[in-house]
Amino acid sequence: MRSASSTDVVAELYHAHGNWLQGWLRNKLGNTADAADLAHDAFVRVIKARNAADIREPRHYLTTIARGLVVDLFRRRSLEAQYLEVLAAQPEAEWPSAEARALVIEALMEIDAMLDGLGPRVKRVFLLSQCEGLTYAEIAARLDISLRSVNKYMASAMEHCCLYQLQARG
Amino acid sequence: MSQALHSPANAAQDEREAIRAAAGWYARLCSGSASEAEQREWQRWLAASELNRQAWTRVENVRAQLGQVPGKVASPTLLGANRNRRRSLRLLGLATLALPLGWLGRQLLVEGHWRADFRTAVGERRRLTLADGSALTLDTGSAVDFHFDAAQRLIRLHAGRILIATAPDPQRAADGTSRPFRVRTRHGLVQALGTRFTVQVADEATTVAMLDHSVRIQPAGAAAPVLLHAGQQLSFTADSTGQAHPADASTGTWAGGSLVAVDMPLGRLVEELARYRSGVLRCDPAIAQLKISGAFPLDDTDRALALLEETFPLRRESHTRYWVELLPR
Repeated sequence: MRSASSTDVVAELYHAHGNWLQGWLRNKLGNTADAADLAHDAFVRVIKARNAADIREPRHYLTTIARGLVVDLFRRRSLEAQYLEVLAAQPEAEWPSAEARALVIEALMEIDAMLDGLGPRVKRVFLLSQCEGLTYAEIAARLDISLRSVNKYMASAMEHCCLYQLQARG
Repeated sequence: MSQALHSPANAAQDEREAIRAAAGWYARLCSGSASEAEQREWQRWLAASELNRQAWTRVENVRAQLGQVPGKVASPTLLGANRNRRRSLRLLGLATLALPLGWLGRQLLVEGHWRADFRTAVGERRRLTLADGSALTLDTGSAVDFHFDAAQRLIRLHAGRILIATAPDPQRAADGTSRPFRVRTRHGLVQALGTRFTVQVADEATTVAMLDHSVRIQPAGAAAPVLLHAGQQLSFTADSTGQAHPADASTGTWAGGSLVAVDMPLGRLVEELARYRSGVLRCDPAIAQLKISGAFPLDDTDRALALLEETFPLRRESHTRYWVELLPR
Protein backbone atom coordinates (compact mmCIF):
# COMPACT_ATOMS: atom_id res chain seq x y z
CA MET A 1 0.00 0.00 0.00
CA ARG A 2 2.65 2.35 1.15
CA SER A 3 5.03 1.49 -1.67
CA ALA A 4 2.25 1.83 -4.28
CA SER A 5 1.54 5.37 -3.17
CA SER A 6 5.24 6.25 -3.16
CA THR A 7 5.45 4.92 -6.74
CA ASP A 8 2.56 7.23 -7.63
CA VAL A 9 4.47 10.14 -6.18
CA VAL A 10 7.50 9.28 -8.31
CA ALA A 11 5.30 8.99 -11.38
CA GLU A 12 3.87 12.43 -10.63
CA LEU A 13 7.36 13.83 -10.18
CA TYR A 14 8.37 12.30 -13.45
CA HIS A 15 5.46 13.83 -15.34
CA ALA A 16 5.93 17.22 -13.78
CA HIS A 17 9.72 17.45 -14.02
CA GLY A 18 11.07 14.63 -16.24
CA ASN A 19 11.32 16.69 -19.41
CA TRP A 20 12.61 19.69 -17.56
CA LEU A 21 15.36 17.61 -15.93
CA GLN A 22 16.33 16.12 -19.27
CA GLY A 23 16.56 19.62 -20.71
CA TRP A 24 18.72 20.75 -17.80
CA LEU A 25 21.05 17.80 -18.34
CA ARG A 26 21.17 18.36 -22.08
CA ASN A 27 22.21 21.89 -21.42
CA LYS A 28 25.00 20.69 -19.12
CA LEU A 29 26.16 17.85 -21.33
CA GLY A 30 25.43 19.12 -24.83
CA ASN A 31 24.29 15.63 -25.73
CA THR A 32 20.80 14.15 -25.86
CA ALA A 33 21.66 10.50 -25.33
CA ASP A 34 23.68 11.05 -22.15
CA ALA A 35 21.01 13.47 -20.87
CA ALA A 36 18.27 10.87 -21.32
CA ASP A 37 20.40 8.21 -19.57
CA LEU A 38 21.20 10.37 -16.60
CA ALA A 39 17.63 11.67 -16.23
CA HIS A 40 16.53 8.06 -16.06
CA ASP A 41 19.22 7.26 -13.49
CA ALA A 42 18.19 10.25 -11.40
CA PHE A 43 14.63 8.94 -11.10
CA VAL A 44 15.92 5.47 -10.27
CA ARG A 45 17.77 7.08 -7.35
CA VAL A 46 14.59 8.82 -6.23
CA ILE A 47 12.74 5.51 -6.30
CA LYS A 48 15.49 3.78 -4.34
CA ALA A 49 15.67 6.55 -1.74
CA ARG A 50 11.93 5.94 -1.01
CA ASN A 51 11.47 9.48 0.18
CA ALA A 52 9.70 10.93 -2.84
CA ALA A 53 6.73 12.04 -0.74
CA ASP A 54 8.97 14.18 1.48
CA ILE A 55 10.62 16.17 -1.28
CA ARG A 56 9.85 19.84 -0.80
CA GLU A 57 11.63 21.44 -3.73
CA PRO A 58 11.63 18.78 -6.40
CA ARG A 59 13.67 20.65 -9.00
CA HIS A 60 16.34 21.55 -6.53
CA TYR A 61 16.43 17.97 -5.28
CA LEU A 62 16.55 16.50 -8.79
CA THR A 63 19.33 18.81 -9.92
CA THR A 64 21.34 17.89 -6.83
CA ILE A 65 21.09 14.23 -7.75
CA ALA A 66 21.69 14.95 -11.42
CA ARG A 67 24.76 17.03 -10.68
CA GLY A 68 26.25 14.06 -8.82
CA LEU A 69 25.50 11.82 -11.79
CA VAL A 70 27.12 14.27 -14.21
CA VAL A 71 30.23 14.30 -12.04
CA ASP A 72 30.22 10.48 -12.06
CA LEU A 73 29.85 10.39 -15.82
CA PHE A 74 32.82 12.69 -16.26
CA ARG A 75 34.74 10.62 -13.74
CA ARG A 76 34.12 7.54 -15.81
CA ARG A 77 34.92 9.27 -19.11
CA SER A 78 38.12 10.80 -17.83
CA LEU A 79 39.23 7.47 -16.34
CA GLU A 80 38.42 5.70 -19.59
CA ALA A 81 40.30 8.26 -21.64
CA GLN A 82 43.29 8.21 -19.32
CA TYR A 83 43.31 4.42 -19.19
CA LEU A 84 43.37 4.18 -22.98
CA GLU A 85 46.17 6.71 -23.10
CA VAL A 86 48.17 4.62 -20.64
CA LEU A 87 47.48 1.47 -22.67
CA ALA A 88 48.48 3.21 -25.88
CA ALA A 89 51.95 3.68 -24.42
CA GLN A 90 52.30 -0.08 -23.93
CA PRO A 91 53.11 -2.77 -26.50
CA GLU A 92 49.97 -3.80 -28.33
CA ALA A 93 50.57 -7.45 -27.43
CA GLU A 94 49.90 -6.58 -23.79
CA TRP A 95 46.54 -4.90 -24.36
CA PRO A 96 43.73 -6.66 -22.53
CA SER A 97 40.53 -7.75 -24.28
CA ALA A 98 37.49 -5.46 -24.36
CA GLU A 99 35.88 -7.45 -21.55
CA ALA A 100 38.98 -7.23 -19.40
CA ARG A 101 39.18 -3.50 -20.08
CA ALA A 102 35.57 -3.00 -18.96
CA LEU A 103 36.34 -4.80 -15.71
CA VAL A 104 39.47 -2.74 -15.17
CA ILE A 105 37.48 0.46 -15.62
CA GLU A 106 34.89 -0.69 -13.07
CA ALA A 107 37.70 -1.50 -10.64
CA LEU A 108 39.36 1.86 -11.34
CA MET A 109 36.07 3.66 -10.65
CA GLU A 110 35.91 2.02 -7.23
CA ILE A 111 39.52 2.73 -6.39
CA ASP A 112 39.17 6.29 -7.61
CA ALA A 113 36.11 6.82 -5.39
CA MET A 114 38.02 5.38 -2.46
CA LEU A 115 40.99 7.69 -3.00
CA ASP A 116 38.80 10.73 -3.61
CA GLY A 117 39.42 13.39 -0.98
CA LEU A 118 43.06 12.52 -0.38
CA GLY A 119 45.45 15.39 -0.97
CA PRO A 120 47.35 15.09 -4.28
CA ARG A 121 50.68 14.48 -2.55
CA VAL A 122 49.28 11.87 -0.16
CA LYS A 123 47.60 10.08 -3.05
CA ARG A 124 50.79 10.13 -5.06
CA VAL A 125 52.85 8.66 -2.24
CA PHE A 126 50.27 5.95 -1.66
CA LEU A 127 50.06 4.94 -5.32
CA LEU A 128 53.82 4.99 -5.82
CA SER A 129 54.21 2.60 -2.92
CA GLN A 130 51.18 0.36 -3.38
CA CYS A 131 50.88 0.23 -7.17
CA GLU A 132 54.34 0.92 -8.47
CA GLY A 133 56.20 -0.83 -5.67
CA LEU A 134 58.65 1.97 -4.94
CA THR A 135 60.47 1.87 -1.59
CA TYR A 136 59.99 4.71 0.90
CA ALA A 137 63.52 5.90 0.13
CA GLU A 138 62.77 6.04 -3.61
CA ILE A 139 59.51 7.90 -2.99
CA ALA A 140 61.21 10.36 -0.66
CA ALA A 141 63.87 11.05 -3.28
CA ARG A 142 61.42 11.35 -6.14
CA LEU A 143 59.07 13.78 -4.38
CA ASP A 144 61.81 15.49 -2.41
CA ILE A 145 60.19 14.86 0.97
CA SER A 146 61.45 13.21 4.17
CA LEU A 147 61.09 9.52 5.02
CA ARG A 148 59.00 10.56 8.00
CA SER A 149 56.56 12.33 5.70
CA VAL A 150 56.32 9.27 3.45
CA ASN A 151 55.48 7.15 6.48
CA LYS A 152 52.95 9.69 7.71
CA TYR A 153 51.25 10.03 4.28
CA MET A 154 51.08 6.25 3.91
CA ALA A 155 49.34 5.88 7.26
CA SER A 156 46.86 8.66 6.60
CA ALA A 157 46.04 7.32 3.11
CA MET A 158 45.39 3.84 4.47
CA GLU A 159 43.29 5.22 7.29
CA HIS A 160 41.24 7.23 4.80
CA CYS A 161 40.65 4.13 2.61
CA CYS A 162 39.60 1.99 5.58
CA LEU A 163 37.17 4.65 6.78
CA TYR A 164 35.80 4.93 3.27
CA GLN A 165 35.15 1.19 3.23
CA LEU A 166 33.59 1.39 6.67
CA GLN A 167 31.12 3.97 5.39
CA ALA A 168 30.50 2.35 2.04
CA ARG A 169 30.04 -1.21 3.25
CA GLY A 170 29.50 -0.98 6.98
CA MET B 1 29.27 1.91 33.45
CA SER B 2 30.03 -0.96 31.09
CA GLN B 3 26.77 -0.08 29.34
CA ALA B 4 28.02 3.40 28.67
CA LEU B 5 31.32 2.07 27.35
CA HIS B 6 29.55 0.04 24.70
CA SER B 7 27.10 2.60 23.51
CA PRO B 8 27.12 2.93 19.70
CA ALA B 9 28.93 6.25 19.80
CA ASN B 10 31.78 4.76 21.78
CA ALA B 11 31.87 1.66 19.61
CA ALA B 12 32.32 3.83 16.55
CA GLN B 13 35.04 5.76 18.31
CA ASP B 14 36.83 2.51 19.28
CA GLU B 15 36.55 1.29 15.74
CA ARG B 16 38.04 4.48 14.37
CA GLU B 17 40.94 4.25 16.77
CA ALA B 18 41.61 0.64 15.83
CA ILE B 19 41.56 1.64 12.16
CA ARG B 20 43.98 4.47 12.79
CA ALA B 21 46.32 2.09 14.63
CA ALA B 22 46.04 -0.52 11.86
CA ALA B 23 46.88 2.08 9.20
CA GLY B 24 49.87 3.20 11.27
CA TRP B 25 51.09 -0.38 11.54
CA TYR B 26 50.60 -0.92 7.87
CA ALA B 27 52.66 2.15 6.97
CA ARG B 28 55.38 0.95 9.33
CA LEU B 29 55.45 -2.59 7.93
CA CYS B 30 55.51 -1.34 4.32
CA SER B 31 58.56 0.76 4.98
CA GLY B 32 60.75 -2.33 4.80
CA SER B 33 62.66 -1.11 7.81
CA ALA B 34 60.45 -2.45 10.60
CA SER B 35 62.61 -4.24 13.16
CA GLU B 36 61.88 -7.72 14.47
CA ALA B 37 60.86 -6.18 17.77
CA GLU B 38 58.34 -4.01 15.93
CA GLN B 39 56.97 -7.00 14.05
CA ARG B 40 56.44 -8.83 17.34
CA GLU B 41 54.75 -5.77 18.75
CA TRP B 42 52.42 -5.67 15.74
CA GLN B 43 51.56 -9.37 16.33
CA ARG B 44 50.72 -8.57 19.94
CA TRP B 45 48.56 -5.63 18.85
CA LEU B 46 46.72 -7.86 16.39
CA ALA B 47 46.07 -10.53 19.03
CA ALA B 48 44.97 -8.00 21.62
CA SER B 49 41.37 -7.50 20.43
CA GLU B 50 38.71 -8.48 17.97
CA LEU B 51 38.38 -4.84 16.98
CA ASN B 52 42.06 -4.74 16.01
CA ARG B 53 41.68 -7.86 13.89
CA GLN B 54 38.63 -6.35 12.16
CA ALA B 55 40.54 -3.18 11.48
CA TRP B 56 43.41 -5.17 9.99
CA THR B 57 40.94 -7.03 7.78
CA ARG B 58 39.90 -3.65 6.40
CA VAL B 59 43.52 -2.89 5.59
CA GLU B 60 43.75 -6.20 3.75
CA ASN B 61 40.55 -5.40 1.86
CA VAL B 62 41.94 -2.07 0.69
CA ARG B 63 45.06 -3.85 -0.49
CA ALA B 64 42.97 -6.43 -2.33
CA GLN B 65 40.96 -3.70 -4.00
CA LEU B 66 44.09 -1.94 -5.21
CA GLY B 67 45.38 -5.28 -6.45
CA GLN B 68 42.48 -5.67 -8.88
CA VAL B 69 44.23 -3.45 -11.40
CA PRO B 70 47.81 -3.98 -12.57
CA GLY B 71 49.93 -1.43 -10.74
CA LYS B 72 51.68 0.02 -13.76
CA VAL B 73 48.23 0.82 -15.19
CA ALA B 74 46.44 1.93 -12.03
CA SER B 75 48.88 4.54 -10.86
CA PRO B 76 49.30 6.62 -14.05
CA THR B 77 45.59 6.30 -14.87
CA LEU B 78 44.39 7.46 -11.48
CA LEU B 79 46.88 10.30 -11.23
CA GLY B 80 46.34 11.45 -14.82
CA ALA B 81 42.55 11.20 -14.75
CA ASN B 82 42.55 13.27 -11.63
CA ARG B 83 44.25 16.12 -13.45
CA ASN B 84 41.74 15.94 -16.32
CA ARG B 85 38.88 15.85 -13.93
CA ARG B 86 39.86 18.88 -11.96
CA ARG B 87 39.91 20.75 -15.23
CA SER B 88 36.57 19.33 -16.33
CA LEU B 89 34.80 19.95 -13.05
CA ARG B 90 36.05 23.50 -13.00
CA LEU B 91 34.49 23.95 -16.38
CA LEU B 92 31.34 22.27 -15.20
CA GLY B 93 30.99 24.66 -12.32
CA LEU B 94 31.37 27.65 -14.58
CA ALA B 95 29.54 26.41 -17.60
CA THR B 96 26.22 28.07 -18.23
CA LEU B 97 26.35 27.34 -21.96
CA ALA B 98 26.12 23.94 -23.52
CA LEU B 99 29.05 24.66 -25.78
CA PRO B 100 32.06 24.28 -23.49
CA LEU B 101 30.65 21.11 -22.01
CA GLY B 102 29.76 19.66 -25.35
CA TRP B 103 33.31 20.34 -26.33
CA LEU B 104 34.53 18.85 -23.11
CA GLY B 105 32.42 15.76 -23.59
CA ARG B 106 34.14 15.20 -26.89
CA GLN B 107 37.53 15.78 -25.36
CA LEU B 108 36.90 13.22 -22.69
CA LEU B 109 35.46 10.56 -24.90
CA VAL B 110 37.44 7.45 -25.64
CA GLU B 111 40.43 8.08 -27.91
CA GLY B 112 40.92 11.51 -26.48
CA HIS B 113 44.22 12.16 -28.24
CA TRP B 114 42.98 14.05 -31.24
CA ARG B 115 40.18 16.46 -31.65
CA ALA B 116 37.50 15.91 -34.24
CA ASP B 117 35.06 18.51 -35.58
CA PHE B 118 32.07 16.31 -34.85
CA ARG B 119 31.62 13.36 -32.58
CA THR B 120 28.76 11.28 -31.37
CA ALA B 121 28.69 9.61 -27.98
CA VAL B 122 27.88 5.94 -27.55
CA GLY B 123 24.18 5.56 -28.30
CA GLU B 124 23.94 8.90 -30.08
CA ARG B 125 23.23 9.52 -33.76
CA ARG B 126 23.50 12.82 -35.47
CA ARG B 127 22.47 14.19 -38.83
CA LEU B 128 24.34 17.09 -40.39
CA THR B 129 23.94 19.08 -43.55
CA LEU B 130 27.32 20.02 -44.94
CA ALA B 131 28.31 23.29 -46.53
CA ASP B 132 27.76 21.88 -50.03
CA GLY B 133 24.29 20.54 -49.18
CA SER B 134 25.38 16.92 -48.78
CA ALA B 135 23.76 15.04 -45.91
CA LEU B 136 25.86 13.22 -43.38
CA THR B 137 24.60 10.96 -40.61
CA LEU B 138 27.01 9.96 -37.86
CA ASP B 139 26.33 6.63 -36.23
CA THR B 140 27.02 5.86 -32.57
CA GLY B 141 30.54 6.50 -31.26
CA SER B 142 31.77 8.17 -34.45
CA ALA B 143 34.14 11.04 -35.15
CA VAL B 144 34.77 13.05 -38.30
CA ASP B 145 36.29 16.28 -39.36
CA PHE B 146 35.86 18.29 -42.52
CA HIS B 147 38.31 19.80 -44.94
CA PHE B 148 36.36 21.64 -47.58
CA ASP B 149 38.46 23.87 -49.83
CA ALA B 150 38.70 24.98 -53.44
CA ALA B 151 40.16 21.66 -54.53
CA GLN B 152 38.07 19.06 -52.74
CA ARG B 153 35.37 18.16 -50.23
CA LEU B 154 37.12 15.85 -47.80
CA ILE B 155 35.74 14.12 -44.74
CA ARG B 156 38.16 12.37 -42.42
CA LEU B 157 36.50 9.50 -40.61
CA HIS B 158 38.41 8.73 -37.42
CA ALA B 159 36.06 6.30 -35.78
CA GLY B 160 32.69 4.68 -36.24
CA ARG B 161 30.37 4.85 -39.22
CA ILE B 162 28.76 7.48 -41.44
CA LEU B 163 26.07 7.53 -44.08
CA ILE B 164 26.57 10.04 -46.85
CA ALA B 165 24.18 11.32 -49.48
CA THR B 166 26.20 13.61 -51.68
CA ALA B 167 24.75 16.72 -53.31
CA PRO B 168 25.92 18.27 -56.58
CA ASP B 169 28.74 20.66 -55.81
CA PRO B 170 27.43 24.25 -55.67
CA GLN B 171 30.94 25.58 -56.33
CA ARG B 172 31.54 24.21 -59.78
CA ALA B 173 34.60 25.46 -61.57
CA ALA B 174 34.19 27.51 -64.76
CA ASP B 175 34.70 24.41 -66.89
CA GLY B 176 31.79 22.68 -65.14
CA THR B 177 33.88 20.21 -63.15
CA SER B 178 32.95 19.85 -59.50
CA ARG B 179 35.22 19.32 -56.53
CA PRO B 180 35.64 15.63 -55.71
CA PHE B 181 33.81 14.38 -52.62
CA ARG B 182 36.06 12.09 -50.62
CA VAL B 183 36.14 10.20 -47.35
CA ARG B 184 39.54 9.38 -45.91
CA THR B 185 40.15 6.72 -43.26
CA ARG B 186 43.41 5.38 -41.94
CA HIS B 187 43.14 2.67 -44.60
CA GLY B 188 42.61 4.79 -47.66
CA LEU B 189 40.40 7.07 -49.71
CA VAL B 190 36.82 6.60 -50.92
CA GLN B 191 35.77 8.92 -53.71
CA ALA B 192 32.06 9.42 -54.35
CA LEU B 193 30.72 9.45 -57.87
CA GLY B 194 27.36 11.12 -57.06
CA THR B 195 25.94 8.79 -54.58
CA ARG B 196 24.66 7.38 -51.24
CA PHE B 197 26.89 5.09 -49.22
CA THR B 198 28.14 4.19 -45.78
CA VAL B 199 31.73 4.04 -44.57
CA GLN B 200 32.71 2.31 -41.36
CA VAL B 201 36.19 2.36 -39.94
CA ALA B 202 37.51 -0.18 -37.45
CA ASP B 203 41.04 -0.89 -36.27
CA GLU B 204 41.78 -3.51 -38.85
CA ALA B 205 39.82 -2.40 -41.94
CA THR B 206 37.42 0.07 -43.51
CA THR B 207 34.12 -1.19 -44.90
CA VAL B 208 32.12 0.60 -47.61
CA ALA B 209 28.54 -0.32 -48.47
CA MET B 210 26.80 1.21 -51.49
CA LEU B 211 23.16 2.21 -51.60
CA ASP B 212 23.10 4.20 -54.87
CA HIS B 213 25.53 4.69 -57.73
CA SER B 214 29.18 4.01 -57.11
CA VAL B 215 32.43 5.02 -55.43
CA ARG B 216 36.08 4.53 -56.19
CA ILE B 217 38.20 3.13 -53.38
CA GLN B 218 41.90 3.86 -53.20
CA PRO B 219 43.71 2.03 -50.39
CA ALA B 220 46.45 4.07 -48.74
CA GLY B 221 49.16 1.54 -49.69
CA ALA B 222 50.07 0.22 -53.10
CA ALA B 223 46.90 -1.72 -53.93
CA ALA B 224 45.06 -0.75 -57.12
CA PRO B 225 41.84 1.29 -56.89
CA VAL B 226 38.50 -0.53 -57.20
CA LEU B 227 35.02 0.58 -58.19
CA LEU B 228 32.12 -0.41 -55.98
CA HIS B 229 28.54 -0.31 -57.27
CA ALA B 230 25.06 -0.01 -55.74
CA GLY B 231 24.09 -3.02 -53.62
CA GLN B 232 27.68 -4.07 -53.03
CA GLN B 233 29.86 -4.03 -49.96
CA LEU B 234 33.61 -4.33 -49.56
CA SER B 235 36.26 -4.13 -46.84
CA PHE B 236 39.76 -2.87 -47.41
CA THR B 237 42.97 -2.27 -45.52
CA ALA B 238 45.85 -0.01 -46.47
CA ASP B 239 47.42 -2.80 -48.51
CA SER B 240 44.60 -4.89 -49.86
CA THR B 241 41.01 -4.83 -51.00
CA GLY B 242 38.70 -7.73 -50.28
CA GLN B 243 36.08 -9.16 -52.64
CA ALA B 244 32.95 -7.12 -53.27
CA HIS B 245 29.87 -9.01 -52.14
CA PRO B 246 26.16 -8.19 -51.85
CA ALA B 247 25.55 -5.57 -49.15
CA ASP B 248 23.60 -6.64 -46.05
CA ALA B 249 19.88 -6.02 -46.01
CA SER B 250 20.55 -3.87 -42.94
CA THR B 251 22.84 -1.41 -44.77
CA GLY B 252 22.03 2.14 -43.76
CA THR B 253 18.92 1.21 -41.75
CA TRP B 254 20.72 2.39 -38.61
CA ALA B 255 20.38 5.96 -39.83
CA GLY B 256 16.61 5.65 -39.32
CA GLY B 257 17.05 4.50 -35.74
CA SER B 258 16.56 0.79 -36.08
CA LEU B 259 18.68 -2.11 -37.12
CA VAL B 260 16.83 -4.27 -39.62
CA ALA B 261 18.24 -7.76 -39.60
CA VAL B 262 17.45 -10.49 -42.10
CA ASP B 263 18.96 -13.83 -41.14
CA MET B 264 21.78 -12.04 -39.37
CA PRO B 265 23.93 -14.24 -37.11
CA LEU B 266 23.27 -13.31 -33.48
CA GLY B 267 26.99 -12.71 -32.96
CA ARG B 268 26.98 -9.93 -35.54
CA LEU B 269 23.76 -8.41 -34.29
CA VAL B 270 25.22 -8.30 -30.77
CA GLU B 271 28.36 -6.63 -32.11
CA GLU B 272 26.19 -3.98 -33.76
CA LEU B 273 24.06 -3.38 -30.64
CA ALA B 274 27.19 -3.26 -28.48
CA ARG B 275 28.32 -0.20 -30.41
CA TYR B 276 25.30 1.65 -28.99
CA ARG B 277 25.98 0.82 -25.36
CA SER B 278 28.63 1.61 -22.79
CA GLY B 279 30.28 -1.41 -21.24
CA VAL B 280 30.28 -4.98 -22.41
CA LEU B 281 27.55 -6.75 -24.35
CA ARG B 282 28.41 -10.25 -25.53
CA CYS B 283 26.82 -13.51 -26.51
CA ASP B 284 27.73 -17.09 -25.75
CA PRO B 285 29.64 -18.59 -28.71
CA ALA B 286 27.19 -21.52 -28.60
CA ILE B 287 24.41 -19.26 -29.92
CA ALA B 288 26.46 -16.85 -32.00
CA GLN B 289 25.33 -18.48 -35.24
CA LEU B 290 21.62 -18.29 -34.40
CA LYS B 291 19.88 -16.58 -37.36
CA ILE B 292 17.96 -13.48 -36.32
CA SER B 293 15.40 -11.50 -38.29
CA GLY B 294 13.61 -8.43 -37.04
CA ALA B 295 13.81 -4.69 -36.48
CA PHE B 296 15.62 -3.61 -33.33
CA PRO B 297 15.49 -0.09 -31.86
CA LEU B 298 18.95 1.40 -31.57
CA ASP B 299 17.97 4.25 -29.29
CA ASP B 300 16.86 1.83 -26.61
CA THR B 301 19.15 -1.19 -26.71
CA ASP B 302 17.64 -2.56 -23.48
CA ARG B 303 14.36 -2.85 -25.35
CA ALA B 304 16.18 -4.42 -28.31
CA LEU B 305 17.61 -7.03 -25.95
CA ALA B 306 14.21 -7.62 -24.36
CA LEU B 307 12.77 -8.19 -27.85
CA LEU B 308 15.49 -10.71 -28.61
CA GLU B 309 14.82 -12.50 -25.35
CA GLU B 310 11.08 -12.67 -26.06
CA THR B 311 11.43 -13.95 -29.60
CA PHE B 312 14.44 -16.22 -29.63
CA PRO B 313 15.64 -19.11 -27.45
CA LEU B 314 18.04 -17.10 -25.34
CA ARG B 315 18.15 -15.33 -22.02
CA ARG B 316 19.88 -12.25 -20.68
CA GLU B 317 22.17 -12.23 -17.74
CA SER B 318 23.35 -8.87 -16.47
CA HIS B 319 25.87 -8.52 -13.70
CA THR B 320 25.90 -4.74 -13.82
CA ARG B 321 24.43 -2.29 -16.26
CA TYR B 322 27.81 -2.35 -17.99
CA TRP B 323 28.03 -6.10 -18.38
CA VAL B 324 25.30 -8.01 -20.19
CA GLU B 325 25.57 -11.51 -21.61
CA LEU B 326 23.19 -13.46 -23.83
CA LEU B 327 23.10 -17.17 -23.04
CA PRO B 328 21.27 -20.19 -24.47
CA ARG B 329 17.93 -20.75 -22.76
